[in-house]
Amino acid sequence: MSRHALELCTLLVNDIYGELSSHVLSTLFRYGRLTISQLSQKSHLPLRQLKHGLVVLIQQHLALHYTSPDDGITYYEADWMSSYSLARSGKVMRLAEERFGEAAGTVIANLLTQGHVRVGDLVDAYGLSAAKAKGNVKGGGINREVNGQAKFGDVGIKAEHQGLTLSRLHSIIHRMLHSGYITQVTEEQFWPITDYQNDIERTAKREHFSGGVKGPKQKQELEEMVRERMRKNREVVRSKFGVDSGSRGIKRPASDITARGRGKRVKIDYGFESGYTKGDDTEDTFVDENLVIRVNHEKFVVVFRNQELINLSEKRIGSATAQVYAELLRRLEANIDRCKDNLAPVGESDEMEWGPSISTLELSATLSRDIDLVNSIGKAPIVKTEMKGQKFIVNSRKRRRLELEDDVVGDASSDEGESDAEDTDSDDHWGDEDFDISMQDNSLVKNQKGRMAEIKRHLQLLAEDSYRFVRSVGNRGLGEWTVDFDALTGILKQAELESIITERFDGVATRLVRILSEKGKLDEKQVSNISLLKQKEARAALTLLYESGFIQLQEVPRDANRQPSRTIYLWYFDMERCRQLVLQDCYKAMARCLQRANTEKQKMHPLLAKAERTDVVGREEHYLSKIERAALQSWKEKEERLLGQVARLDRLVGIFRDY
Amino acid sequence: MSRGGRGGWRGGRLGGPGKIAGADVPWAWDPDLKLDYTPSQLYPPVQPPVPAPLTHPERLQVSLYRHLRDRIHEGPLYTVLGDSHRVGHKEASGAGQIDPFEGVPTYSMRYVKKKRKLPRLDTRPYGEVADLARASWVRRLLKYFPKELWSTLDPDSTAPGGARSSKKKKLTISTAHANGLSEDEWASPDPEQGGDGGLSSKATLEKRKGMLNSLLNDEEDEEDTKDGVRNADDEQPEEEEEADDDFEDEEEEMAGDYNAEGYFEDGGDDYPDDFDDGGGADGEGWY
Repeated sequence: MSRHALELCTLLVNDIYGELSSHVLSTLFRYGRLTISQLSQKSHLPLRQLKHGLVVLIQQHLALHYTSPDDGITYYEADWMSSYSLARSGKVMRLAEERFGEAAGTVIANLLTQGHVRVGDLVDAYGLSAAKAKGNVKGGGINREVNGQAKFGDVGIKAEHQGLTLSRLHSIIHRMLHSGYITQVTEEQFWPITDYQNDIERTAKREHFSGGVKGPKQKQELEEMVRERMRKNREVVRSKFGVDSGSRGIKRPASDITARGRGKRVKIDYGFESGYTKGDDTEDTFVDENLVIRVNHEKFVVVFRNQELINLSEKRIGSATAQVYAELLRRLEANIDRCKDNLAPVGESDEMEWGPSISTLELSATLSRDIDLVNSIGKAPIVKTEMKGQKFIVNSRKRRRLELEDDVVGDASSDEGESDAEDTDSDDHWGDEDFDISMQDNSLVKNQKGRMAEIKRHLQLLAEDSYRFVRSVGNRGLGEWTVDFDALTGILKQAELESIITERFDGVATRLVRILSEKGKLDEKQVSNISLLKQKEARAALTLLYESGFIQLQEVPRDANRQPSRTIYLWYFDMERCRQLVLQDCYKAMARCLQRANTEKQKMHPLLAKAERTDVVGREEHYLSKIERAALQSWKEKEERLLGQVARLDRLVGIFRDY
Repeated sequence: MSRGGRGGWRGGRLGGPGKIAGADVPWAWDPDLKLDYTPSQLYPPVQPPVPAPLTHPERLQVSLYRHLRDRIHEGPLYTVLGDSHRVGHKEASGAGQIDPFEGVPTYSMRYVKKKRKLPRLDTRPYGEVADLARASWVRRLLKYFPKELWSTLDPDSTAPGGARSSKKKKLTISTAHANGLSEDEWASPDPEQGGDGGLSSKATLEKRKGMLNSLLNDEEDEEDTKDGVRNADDEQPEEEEEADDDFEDEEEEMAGDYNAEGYFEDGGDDYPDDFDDGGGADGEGWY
């Protein structure tokens, strides 16, 4: 981890948890793994204060600890990734709110405030203990709401919270556990990953390699075994509540997914506002009171990645297609727990088969009916009230045209051929004769089939784009689709980098970078030939790019003397280096934003201290002058802009680091 | 670019265009190039790029972030070491340290938010569950912390028999949504507290003030930090003292209603070691 990342994390923790925590954490950052006495020495803090600081850090999962079984000494380590995710907390809360309703947003906020929490304690703190709830679950809910209104009305708490009953709270927690947004806390999560690994390795050695590990083959076996066990442990925790991630590759019967998906949809659409009754309030949604839970940032990252992809597809193709894509990604999300899996089996070369997939039929079950599928592609049928038959003829014509286009695309890129053939195959299945038959069926079936075809066309659009948003993997359920996230995130990175370069330099520089990334290492002359630039212009742009580190220069001497005149100079572009470069810039910029916000706050200190006085809070109108209120307002706006900038930079960090 | 500097100069003189130290280089020498040797301006005017205004979702995110931050600042974990407390230096004391402009006590200082140097860890439960077999309390959450910190977390945990302090602890959470009147809503509304009869808005305000004061009351903490390293075991009496702050009195004044549920500290269960020390009523449940 770099200096800037360290600085940023310290600032974030300072901003949220105060000076003691950030001081202890920055000491851990600078010195690495320390025991408590070493830490006390390095941080110049008295032991009592230090212990309090450490407790806060562990409570919030910002520091890790491990007690060695050999000597019983506890070591502490900083967890910079989780400190970084503090910057994401706003996004996380907003997402939870969007997906599960406002009450879920506050649950997530409470989890973030508390670090980890026992479900029973959380319920108690909400004032909904299990003993009292017995009455409430059966019909008592309304009374409670009335009481609540009388009591909290003047405090200004939204009506929604008064309706929060025990069973609702439990089912919110259950649903978020099920979909992986919050997770069970296990002791291993508090250990540094290497210690965890060593711990498992020790047991594995004891059980299977009692004679010691000999030779590279056994070493590899052991390594694989350790990974396997770590993965298993992880999945045990996950599968207790959620999707059985072990069966990721296995296709579930369509009916199962459809039924589940449909149920989920209903919940999300009507959430708590109206239709949240029966079914979900049953006993089985109650979560064990002794379960300890925390926010699972990994899963949120998956959703953020999906949002980026949806935005990209909207820019490339269109809003209706992007909506279809959004639904597809949302359905796949259930099977994806994290973006980058360090523990994925190594030997599995056929990565493609591993990814979760979904069929058109399954997708159509949950796709919102509000999306205008028909009019968003090509030429729409002229009038809705026209004869159905005519409409289909128009459609089939359009389809033929689309197929023609497909062929052109297919010719252009050679590896498209196979999937293209599949597409046309499945198209035949929905060919004209099908529609002729369906004309005689009732209109419902017709509509359904037409809709299916429309969805399919959108999916094909996504598949045929040069970015390959989806990939067709089979014909089950009218075509089965999967998403190659690795390739797509590569594209995301490239696109983002190009826009950064365009912003910083100009279009010429971007052109050169694109040429270099496509062709590999090139001589200056070749660069100018391909880019259709004068050598002098090309050189100026290349030098600028070289100076800021986006491209590299390699010297290849033609003889042993390494004379400059007998040396070939090759320009090349290295994505990994650029990625690191941009990432460091982002960290630095984020840190500067936070520092600026601190400085602005310092400037405002006397006024802020006054505004925070207990007699002033809540009665600002009375105690603060007009000028003071205006100054406070302008400071708030400044801080909002700075924090907004941090959130925007965090998007880049997501693209270049997490996705 | 040291090679380009000296060697290039000599090359230009001796070897003609496009040469370094007499040797040809693949890049051509540019005769049209006119270098500008005038000193550059020290601070040239820079037009900083102006970011686009924040969109609605972005503003929502920021407000949620700030709301979360404010709540943590008001909660028990936030600490301010302050300027006077330089880490690693002995804290100087005496008249020299007093700020003549702002250090003089004034009436309004009563209301100034007190800064906490130590987080208050005893304000939250650590998963206390009764272990009936051994007639003691098991703290389920403590296992997530290393043993050497247990006494810091909860002084009772090291007490013989795992005795439990008489007050029932509660998380300080908020059930209010961030978009509302966020400043006013941080207190955890507790149905037990005012369950019988609604409180007037003034009473609510008073109550919250009392809570804030007691939450931020850290006089003991300051003394402790001055003493430096302390043995964790002899902290225990102090922790009890802390519990007896002015908070109870305020509680009794305004909402001292008889609360049947809270009369026996924890709902009337009768574990042998659970004694009633006659302290405050259910008010302490706020933590």
